[in-house]
Amino acid sequence: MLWVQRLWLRLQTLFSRRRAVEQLDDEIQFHLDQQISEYVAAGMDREEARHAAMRVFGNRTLLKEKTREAWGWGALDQVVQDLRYGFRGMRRDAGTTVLAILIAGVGIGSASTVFSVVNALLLRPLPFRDPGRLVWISNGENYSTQPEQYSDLREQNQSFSDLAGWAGFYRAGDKKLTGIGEPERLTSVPVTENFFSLLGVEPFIGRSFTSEECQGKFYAPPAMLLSHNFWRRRFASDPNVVGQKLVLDNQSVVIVGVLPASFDFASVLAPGTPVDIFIPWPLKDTSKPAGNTMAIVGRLKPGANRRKCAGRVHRVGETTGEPVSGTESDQAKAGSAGTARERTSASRSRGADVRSGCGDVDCLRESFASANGANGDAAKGNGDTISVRSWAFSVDETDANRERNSLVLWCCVGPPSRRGRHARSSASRCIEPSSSGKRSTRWEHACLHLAGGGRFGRALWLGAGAAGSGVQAP
Amino acid sequence: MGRPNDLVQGTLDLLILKTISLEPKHGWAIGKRIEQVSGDVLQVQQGSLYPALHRLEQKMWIKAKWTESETGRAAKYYSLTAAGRTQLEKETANWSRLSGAINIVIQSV
Repeated sequence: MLWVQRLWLRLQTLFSRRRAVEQLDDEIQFHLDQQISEYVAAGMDREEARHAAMRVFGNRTLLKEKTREAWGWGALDQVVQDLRYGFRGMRRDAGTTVLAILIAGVGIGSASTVFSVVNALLLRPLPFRDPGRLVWISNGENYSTQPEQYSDLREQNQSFSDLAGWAGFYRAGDKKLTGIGEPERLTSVPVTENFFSLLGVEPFIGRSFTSEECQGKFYAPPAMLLSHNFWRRRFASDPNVVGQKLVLDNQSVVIVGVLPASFDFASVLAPGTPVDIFIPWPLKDTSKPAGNTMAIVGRLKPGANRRKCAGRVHRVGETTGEPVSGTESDQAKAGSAGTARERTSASRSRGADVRSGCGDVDCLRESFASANGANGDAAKGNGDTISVRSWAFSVDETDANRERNSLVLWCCVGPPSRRGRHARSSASRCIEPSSSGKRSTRWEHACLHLAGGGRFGRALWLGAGAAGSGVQAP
Repeated sequence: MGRPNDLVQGTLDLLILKTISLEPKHGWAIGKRIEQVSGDVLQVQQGSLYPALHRLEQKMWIKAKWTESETGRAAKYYSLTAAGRTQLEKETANWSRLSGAINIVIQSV
C-alpha cells in the first residue's frame, strides 16, 4: 500500500504547505550554519565564513523552488500565483474591475434570461401526451371563449377526440384557505372534468375529478386537486393528504389528488401565475362566470385534417349563429350535428334578445402565425412533417357595428423555412365575409384586456404578436 | 567528474540511499559523507541534494524526522524505509552491472 502512503504524504505537503516551507527554510539554515561552523573551525573569520558558506550553497531561492517542485504541486502553485497576481491587479484598478464585473454580470443575466424564455417557448416540448394534436380554440383576438361555445363545439364536434377548458379569469390568491395552520390565499383554476385526461396528465397520487364533482356550484367546489409545488410547500409532500378536507372560502373541500411535478400549469399555460389548486368547473351552474371566460384546448382525432377541422368549427359557428328563436328544430334543419340544448338554455337564461353563443361566422381564415410556427417547429424536429402543436380556432367579432364575426384558425406549423410563405399566403386565403345580416350578440369585446394579460400562456403570447397582422377585420 | 552536475540523477539517488543506510543523517552530513568517502572526488552540490532528498521522501524511499543534532539544534534526519532498502539493493545491482559492463568495454579496447 505504498501508493496510499505516498498520496497521504503529498496531501500533507499540500494542506500544510506553510509548515513544509518553514521546515525547508529551517533545513537550509541548518545546513548553512553547519557549513559556517566548519569554516570557523578551520580558522576563518565568522563573517567571512558566512559569505563563503553562502557562496558554496548557491542560489537559495532557486534551490527552494526546485525542492518545492519535488513536492509535486508545481502547477497548482503557479495557478495560485497567477490568481494572486490577477487579484492584485484588480485591486489596483478597482474602477475598471467593477465595470468589467457589471458588464459580465449583465451579459450573463440577460443571456440566461433569454435562454429561459427560449427554452420555455421553443425548446421544451409541451409536457403533455402527444402535444402535436393539441389545439387551442379561442374567441377572436381575445383568445378566450364562452362556456356556451365550449358546449356547442363539444356537442357538435367531429374532428376532436375531446375538448376541455379552464377558466381564464382566475385571480392570484382568489381562494382563502383557513382551518389548518396559517390562513393563506390560494390561486385556484377551475377546469372542466376532462381537462387532465385530455392533456394526458395523471394525478401523482389520488384521482382526477368525477362527473358528480363537476355538477356542483361554481363557488362551492366539492373537490380539489393540489399542484405538486403547493403540496410540497404546504403539506411537506405528505401522501396522506388525499381524502383530507380543507376549508376554502368557508366551504369544506376534499382533496382528491395531487398533480405530478411535470405538470406545471403556470409555466405552460399561464406564465408568471403559480397555481396552487385546481377545482372543478360546473358548466351547468348558471352562477358560473359569463362571457369570454374560458380557454379551450382540443385534442384532434388521429389523422384529423386541420382544414376540415376548421370548416367544421366554422359550421358550428354558423349553426349556433341562428337567432334564439331558431330552436332545436331550426338547428336540425341547418344540419347541425348536435342539439345544443345546453347552449340554448344558457342563452335563454341571459335574456330574450340574446342570440346564440356563436353568432354569425362568415369568415374563415387560416393563419399560420410565424411565432406560433416557431412553437410548433420545436415540438418535432422532423424534416417535412408539419408539426401542428397548438391551433386556435377563434370566432371573432371584429367589428361590432358591422355585426359580423370571423372564424379564425390559428395554427402552428413546422419547418421554419416554410413559415414565412405560410404567413403571407394566409392572408390571401381569407374568405371574405358575406353580409348575411345575421345578428350576433355579446361576444369578445367585453374581454379585450385578456389579450394583454398573458393569462393563456405562451400560445397566447405568441399568438398575440401575430394577431395584429393576421386577424384584423377583413 | 568532480562537479556535481556531472552526477547522473540516478547515481545521486543511489549515493544518498547508500549513505543513510547505516544510520539516519541530515542533509549536510549526507553531502559531507559522500565527499569524505569518495576522497573528495564526488562533490555533491546543495542545489541538487535537497531536491533529491525531498523527491526520495515523496517516493517513500526515505523518511524524515526532526531530531536534536550533535550541536543541540533540531535537524531533519533522513533514514531508509523498507521500500528504500529494496530500492537500494536494486540500484546497487543495477550500478554494478552497468559499471562492470563499462569497465569491460574500456579494458577490451
